Amino acid sequence: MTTDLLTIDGLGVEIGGLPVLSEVTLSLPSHGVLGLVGETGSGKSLTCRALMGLLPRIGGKVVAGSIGFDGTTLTDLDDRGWSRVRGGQIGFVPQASLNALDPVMTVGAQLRESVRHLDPGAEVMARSRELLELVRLPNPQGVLRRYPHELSGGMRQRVMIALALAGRPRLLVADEPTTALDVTVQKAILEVFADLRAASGMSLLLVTHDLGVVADVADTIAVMYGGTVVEVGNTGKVMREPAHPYTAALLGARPTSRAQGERLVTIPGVPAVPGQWPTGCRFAPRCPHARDVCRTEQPALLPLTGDRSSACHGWPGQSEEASTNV
Amino acid sequence: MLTQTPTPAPRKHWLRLPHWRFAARRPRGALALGLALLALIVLATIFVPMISPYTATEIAGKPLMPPSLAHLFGTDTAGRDVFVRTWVGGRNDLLMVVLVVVASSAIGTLVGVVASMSSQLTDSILMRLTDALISFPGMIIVMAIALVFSGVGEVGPFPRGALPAVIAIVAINWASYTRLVRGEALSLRSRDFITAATLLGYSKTRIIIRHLLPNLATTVVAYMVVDAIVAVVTIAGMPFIGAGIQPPAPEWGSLMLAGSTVLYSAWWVTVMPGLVVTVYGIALSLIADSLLAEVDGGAR
Amino acid sequence: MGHVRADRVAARGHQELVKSHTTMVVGAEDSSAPTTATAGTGQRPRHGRHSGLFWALAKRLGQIAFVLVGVITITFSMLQVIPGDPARLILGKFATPESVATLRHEMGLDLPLTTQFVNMVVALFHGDLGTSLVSRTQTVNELIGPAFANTMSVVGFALVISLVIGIAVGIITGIRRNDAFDRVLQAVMVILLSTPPFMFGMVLLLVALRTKIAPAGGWHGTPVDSLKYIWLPALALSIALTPVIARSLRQSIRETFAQDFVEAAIARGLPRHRVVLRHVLPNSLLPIVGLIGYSLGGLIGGAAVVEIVFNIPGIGSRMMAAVGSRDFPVVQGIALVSAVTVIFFNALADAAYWIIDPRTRTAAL
Repeated sequence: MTTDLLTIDGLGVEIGGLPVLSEVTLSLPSHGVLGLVGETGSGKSLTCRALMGLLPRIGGKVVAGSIGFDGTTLTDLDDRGWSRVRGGQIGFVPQASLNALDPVMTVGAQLRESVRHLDPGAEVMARSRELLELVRLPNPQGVLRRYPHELSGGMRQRVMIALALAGRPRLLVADEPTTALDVTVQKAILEVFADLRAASGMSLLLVTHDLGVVADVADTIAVMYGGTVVEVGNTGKVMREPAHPYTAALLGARPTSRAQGERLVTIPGVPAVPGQWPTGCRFAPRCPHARDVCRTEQPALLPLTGDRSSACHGWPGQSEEASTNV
Repeated sequence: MLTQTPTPAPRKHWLRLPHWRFAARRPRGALALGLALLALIVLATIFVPMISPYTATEIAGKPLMPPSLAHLFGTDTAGRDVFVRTWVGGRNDLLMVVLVVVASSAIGTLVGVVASMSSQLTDSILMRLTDALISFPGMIIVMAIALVFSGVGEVGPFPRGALPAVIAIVAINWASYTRLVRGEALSLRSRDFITAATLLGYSKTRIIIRHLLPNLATTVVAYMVVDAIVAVVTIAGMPFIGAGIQPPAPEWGSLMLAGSTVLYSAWWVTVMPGLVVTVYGIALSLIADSLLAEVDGGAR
Repeated sequence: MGHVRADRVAARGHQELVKSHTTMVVGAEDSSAPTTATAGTGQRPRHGRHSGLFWALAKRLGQIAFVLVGVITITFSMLQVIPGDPARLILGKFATPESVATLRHEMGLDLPLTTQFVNMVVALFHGDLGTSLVSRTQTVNELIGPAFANTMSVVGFALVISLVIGIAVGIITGIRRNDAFDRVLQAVMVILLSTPPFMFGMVLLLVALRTKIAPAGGWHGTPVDSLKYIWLPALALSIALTPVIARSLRQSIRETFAQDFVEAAIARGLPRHRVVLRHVLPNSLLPIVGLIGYSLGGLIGGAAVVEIVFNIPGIGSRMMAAVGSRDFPVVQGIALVSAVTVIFFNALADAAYWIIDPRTRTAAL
């Protein structure tokens, strides 16, 4: 088995003493694409932050577990270590809000800045244009001259991707890259990701709440709920035969899973709130298959057949493959 | 395997990003201190003249005596006790400040709310008017207006010169409130709950009174506190230019002015009332800061 | 007056300005990502890029003109709203009816209101502010011109001091965490904020008297060779603005740090010093520009009083004399010129924003 590029092992994070992530375990092989899925509050954005060393900014810190990237233990890094990793090894694409770029600098100036600092030796002007071409932006010359507020959301998102690529990273982490964009723009962005992957074999960690996006792009999917990972596995298999009730519920809740005229399915209850996690399985209060053991004992993420894992005590009617623990 | 992100080494910390979003609120102690100081001053203005062995106008001792147990703030050029004069003057100042702030905020808020809820044209006209008023530097226009009303003498319990001074300040001051309130009201107006109220068919008046005003209240009150500081500075500055409360009625500013001729030898005549003004300002600053922290901190 | 509130109004003012200009771009996302070369520049201004600019400028100038009209009207009405007869007020209780009538005629008070107004506006266009009623030979311009020069030099110097110290303190307290040094500086700022400029002026005067580091007030010659007479009153005046700048900048820096683009810049791997110097500071300094422009009114008013403390012949003492002798033309002249100065500086502040903040250029009409 090849060593994975990225391994998160039992990560636990607290903010101001409040646990917000616990037992987060997942891995990403080189050249792979992992889709990290979950609703708001599931901890997926926090995992991204932990991955980039941005926890101190929001007052968080790692209290358990570790993150390993290409031989380096990220959770051990100090400021200097992080400055080598960020941009050059791992590129981060934040959600492209209006505020994601410095409003008083042109796009070109910001690109050139990144190229200068992260890609010494490259010809700055040419490389800036090249980066914009990589993300399929029409009229790169024009965009370079523009200010961020003059661009549309889709274009800003592409600029964010271009900026993340400036340091030629091995792994690209994208936090909700298609949220707040409409469907056609989403498609275009995903095509950009597909391009990058095909061209350079870049690994991709895509964080989103949109299962459709994951189905399109990711080889592997990891589902998060209540600050922990509840299921991991090959995208196709997981989506056909989910091994966790929450995944099943998410899949069932898609409008496309219902025929015309049928009621849409929702998941009853409210998402788990950090600091108020119930004892036992965090999904138990909303799970249609919850048993007594679910309420007392938190299920660990256990491997199943074929590189899949799930954190569930099991429910009647599960398929063979999805329930046999290795 | 338990590893922890190392906390940054202290020597690097001046570049460290502040934990802004989860930072602690401003300490409550500031608000308490501010209120305490303010209460102290107000109580002193009420009680000191009552219990002091001297009055503000009598000759209480030898002129220009330094602070002592008998005369806590010393005596002035005529031999009057500066301590009691400071607190009697304080009554005048505080009274005027209250009048100025209440009148300005009432007028200003009213105009501001009306402007925000009226047509573009009315709004434009009102705003240009307020802009024009604000353009005059405070002191200058106050002097001019004081001149305009200089014919007016004593009115009721107010010492001579008090009422023209109040009118002069309020005449300009309300415009600042209007600016503030209009801006807030406009941004509130586009918020969903106002749209909902309008769609539900509530009358304009009802929307204003029951929905707009309460939300504006915190901002306006915070402003009023800041205004109370500025008002005192203006009021106390007026004697320097010959306006404001006329002597012999004591007032912080005129007390300070009177002491300026003997500044070198008898500094206490000026500095003591000045310290009281400063402490008053500090008290109000602390209160204003706490209020403003609520407004802005809450927005996050 | 108005110096303390300027920081809040300015900060909000700048926010509002930016918000109103950017809500045009955020909002409904435009659908397809066009692949043609022409499209893709986001929102298109209605009249094309250049005429949008022209209209924005025209609109702004129109607004300023309106305000000027308002100022002139207010100045005009000073004479008209006096309870009783202005001429009588000027001449005093013992004036004879004949002298009152003569004065009324001289001042044009017997003409219809509109004629008076028009005459005034016409005169203003020629730069004629009238003649002093007290000293019949001197024009108002002669009387207040040098006074204004003196006052503005004090104000200018105070501005420089406030900026230098205020920005320095603002940066120090903004970047550091809430440690002891930061708290001390903040406390000092609160104390400075609460001290009236004339109080501080008197303390400084006392120090000057005792230690002779500066002449204790007075004036000599032109503003240029009076530097040693200016710096102390300027310092006294700066106490009004320095803490406002410092606190505003501190707040601004902290807010900027919390912005998404700062986090994005760090996440990209840009070095800290670069992020702070090139991204955080320029964005943080934006509200300060407006602050200065809008604080000018308060500074001029404060200068008037400080001048009197330090015995400087500026508009403060000139105004006092005019008010004392009921010299209306001079009073009106000073009011008008100072208001116009403030408007001018506000317009400068707006122009400065237009230059340095590209968001304001996307004209939201």
